[in-house]
Amino acid sequence: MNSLFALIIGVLVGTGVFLLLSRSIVRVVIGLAFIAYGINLTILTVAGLSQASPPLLSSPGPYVDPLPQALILTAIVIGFATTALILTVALRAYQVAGHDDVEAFGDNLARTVDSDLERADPEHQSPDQPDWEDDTLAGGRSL
Amino acid sequence: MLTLAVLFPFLIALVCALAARILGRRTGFLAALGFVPALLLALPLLNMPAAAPASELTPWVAEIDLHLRFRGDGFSLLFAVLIGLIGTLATWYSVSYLSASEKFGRFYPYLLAFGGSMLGLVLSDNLPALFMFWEMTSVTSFLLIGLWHTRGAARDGAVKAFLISALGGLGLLAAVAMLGIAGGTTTLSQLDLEAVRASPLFLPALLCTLLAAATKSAQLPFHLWLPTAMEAPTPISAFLHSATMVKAGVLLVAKFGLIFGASALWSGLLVPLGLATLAWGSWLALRQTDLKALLAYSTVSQLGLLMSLYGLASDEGRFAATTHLLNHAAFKAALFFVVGIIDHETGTREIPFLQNLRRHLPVTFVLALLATLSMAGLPPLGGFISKELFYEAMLHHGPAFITVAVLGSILTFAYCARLLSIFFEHRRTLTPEMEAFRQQHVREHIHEAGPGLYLPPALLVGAALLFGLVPGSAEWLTRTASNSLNFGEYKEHLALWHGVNTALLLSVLTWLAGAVVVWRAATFARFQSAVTPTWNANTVYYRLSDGLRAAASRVVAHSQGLALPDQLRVMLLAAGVMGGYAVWRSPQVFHSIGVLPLSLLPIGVLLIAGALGVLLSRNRLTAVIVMGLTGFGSAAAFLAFRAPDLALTQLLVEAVTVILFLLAFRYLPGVRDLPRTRGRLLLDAGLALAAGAGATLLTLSSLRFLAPPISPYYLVNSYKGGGGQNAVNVLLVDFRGFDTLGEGLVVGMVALAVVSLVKLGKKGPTTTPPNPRIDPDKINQERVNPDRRVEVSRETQN
Repeated sequence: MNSLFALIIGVLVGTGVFLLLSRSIVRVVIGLAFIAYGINLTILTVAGLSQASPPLLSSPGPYVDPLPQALILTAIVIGFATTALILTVALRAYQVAGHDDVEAFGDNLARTVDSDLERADPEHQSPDQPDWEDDTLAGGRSL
Repeated sequence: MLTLAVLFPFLIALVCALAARILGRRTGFLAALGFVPALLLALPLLNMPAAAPASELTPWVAEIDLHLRFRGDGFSLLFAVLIGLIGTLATWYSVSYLSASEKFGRFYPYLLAFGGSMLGLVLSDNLPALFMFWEMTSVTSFLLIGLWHTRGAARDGAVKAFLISALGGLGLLAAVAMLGIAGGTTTLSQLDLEAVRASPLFLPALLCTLLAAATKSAQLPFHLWLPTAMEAPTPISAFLHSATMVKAGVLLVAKFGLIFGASALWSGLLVPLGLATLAWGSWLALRQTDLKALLAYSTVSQLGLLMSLYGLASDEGRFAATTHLLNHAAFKAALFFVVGIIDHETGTREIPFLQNLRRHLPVTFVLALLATLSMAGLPPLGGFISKELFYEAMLHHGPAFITVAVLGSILTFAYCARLLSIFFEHRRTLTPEMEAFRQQHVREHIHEAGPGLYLPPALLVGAALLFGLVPGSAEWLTRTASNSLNFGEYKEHLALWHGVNTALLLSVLTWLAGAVVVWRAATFARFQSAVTPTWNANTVYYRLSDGLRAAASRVVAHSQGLALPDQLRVMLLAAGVMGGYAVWRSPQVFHSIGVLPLSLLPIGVLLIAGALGVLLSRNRLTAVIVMGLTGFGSAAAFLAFRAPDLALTQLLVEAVTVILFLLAFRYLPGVRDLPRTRGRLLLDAGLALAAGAGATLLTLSSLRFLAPPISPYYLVNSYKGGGGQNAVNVLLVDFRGFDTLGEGLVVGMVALAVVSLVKLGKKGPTTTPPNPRIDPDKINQERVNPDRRVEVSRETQN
């Protein structure tokens, strides 16, 4: 029983990862949802699958483990929130970029670094007064 | 008392930061209070060297033997009072010096924090705390040097100072750790010296200490940061770079010299290093046209002198070095203040533009003259006496050393004369550009500065004069450190006139040769520029830092500049390697599938059918519905394994998710499987298979309990403690209530985010990218091959 679920979990997570690596943005979101299913089932499985009574004290025991259930309950809700957020972000990204190809989204980190900084030079000093007024980097002030 | 002296500046720094808005430039008077406890340390100093050093212990982080343990021996107290005195003078001075537009709420707190760190460093008897204060001086001096952070040069100077002194800080950390291990304790004064000297860690600890001292005290080849640190305002330079921060390395050498001095390597490395720095620093100082740069290089050279004297590890050397330490602090801080006055009154510090200043600034002239003569080592000033001691000590050491010492002193004499030349008339040739600069910046009508500016240097010059005229005063001060630095046996006395001896003859030779260099200044300057190499420590530094920056941006561009799937692939590969190793090392448990209840079979089919269906679906509606299969399948699984709450929640969430997707599909394109290249497809399939296999193995290997489960506690207590019969609900709202609250907050925040994103509507990019250099279209064009781009635009038209 546990081994069967371990296999199913493997299929779900594998599917999720494959979808996550797609170029289409909707498939990425669906992939995340599948990973979430897989993880929820993992929590349930590793606590030991058992078909004893549900953890309702009104019915006679022995009971199944309530702790993984509480954890999964939180995970389901958080997983839903994450899916909703990512779906909206995907929507927005599609609107801004004009296409849904994840690989073609631009990345500003690839830009070259500006290296012509001013350098401290002991042989050519500036006058010893603050220059807040004629401040070329005006941003420094408002910060 | 000692603890108070260290912590009080930090307290006042806080007060100053808050009060600066109201008090403006008068914050300086408040700030000066921060050094009062340090100045009061002069009282116990009076009883030195006879009295036993006081020690104060405040336990702090006992786990790593980090305590605030301060110890007031003679040398530490002397240094602390010096810091307090010059700190107080610098704060007074800056009240008159700084412009009204200065950021006082930053200036004074930084200054005080620096002073406090420095006091902690000199008084600390605990090795980890010593290192901590050492690093704090690096950080606070970084803030002070970069005070005018809108200037590129100030930022560059601050970064340079920080990089170099942080490098040394790492050395000190290693040294401190090794000393603690070898010496059996982290208390400096209780180290087992015999054990340290016998330990194999002795040599590495010695080298690490040397690295720390050399970087902090700007010894060759780390001298490059000190001159560029002059980008700080002048009062800061006077405080940091004449009297205190740069002397931290000297202090380290003096204190640790008692441990390492036993080794010949210590002297063998330190004395040549110090002398080379002395000669090279004064050589460079003579080339400067800027007064502050000249003083900076002169500090480099004087630090070299101090290093070489302490490096001798002899009674004579320590005595001479401590005397010179006092003299140097007096004349160098005074000179920085004087240069500040000149800059403040004339608007420039460039030597070619300044002449005849003795007419306009008579008081400043007298102060500058006395301080400079002390620096040049002329009688009857303190500098003369300590230079005689220096010659004496180097004479005992060998002919090569005394030659370098004399050469350095000749150059010192020459640059002192160059500094004084601004007070007299001298011929000058100005190019048209220089003339334009002069007319724009240099003031024509110069007035003497107010007492706020000349009283602090006057006090220090008075001390320099006193040390010369009444050598007993300097000797008494030096002797307070005799017990802590072990030169109590040394009986020689300070005197202006020792009779005609070799040291005096060498002094006369120095003056004569120095006078020749001054007389032939133009020829000497030509000679200097002719032999100056095209590269120096600075070019090496910039080559290294540029290379580092380029390498870093290349790494970033190649690791993070990828599209999302590429980043995920990198992360998955890394996670796979680590997770795979963990799974491989752990035992797996295989349960037989044979006892499977029939009711589970449809659930498994549902779950897998959903997964396969999504992979195969080419239609977004199908995809979502098929995804729902898996969702409902897990709900069924929850039901089968006796989790009714979960099943209910999963059903609800599943329904809402499907609705959400359907809503979103109004605005999204269809689920197309954009083609991946064959290599990518294989890689992705491989990664997916590996991830799936990993999840399976992880589940299997987690099936054995490592510790007894904690769940029975909840079952037993859920009714007693929580009053509920549903253990899961009680667990969520009572036992893990804060988790559930956090969960609620997450959902709330997501709701806000979703609403604000949706409210942006179908509008495209509302603003142009803030940085004009970044054009998303251009970047996209570079990334996407042209065919694909056409395909995409056609789709969006549809």
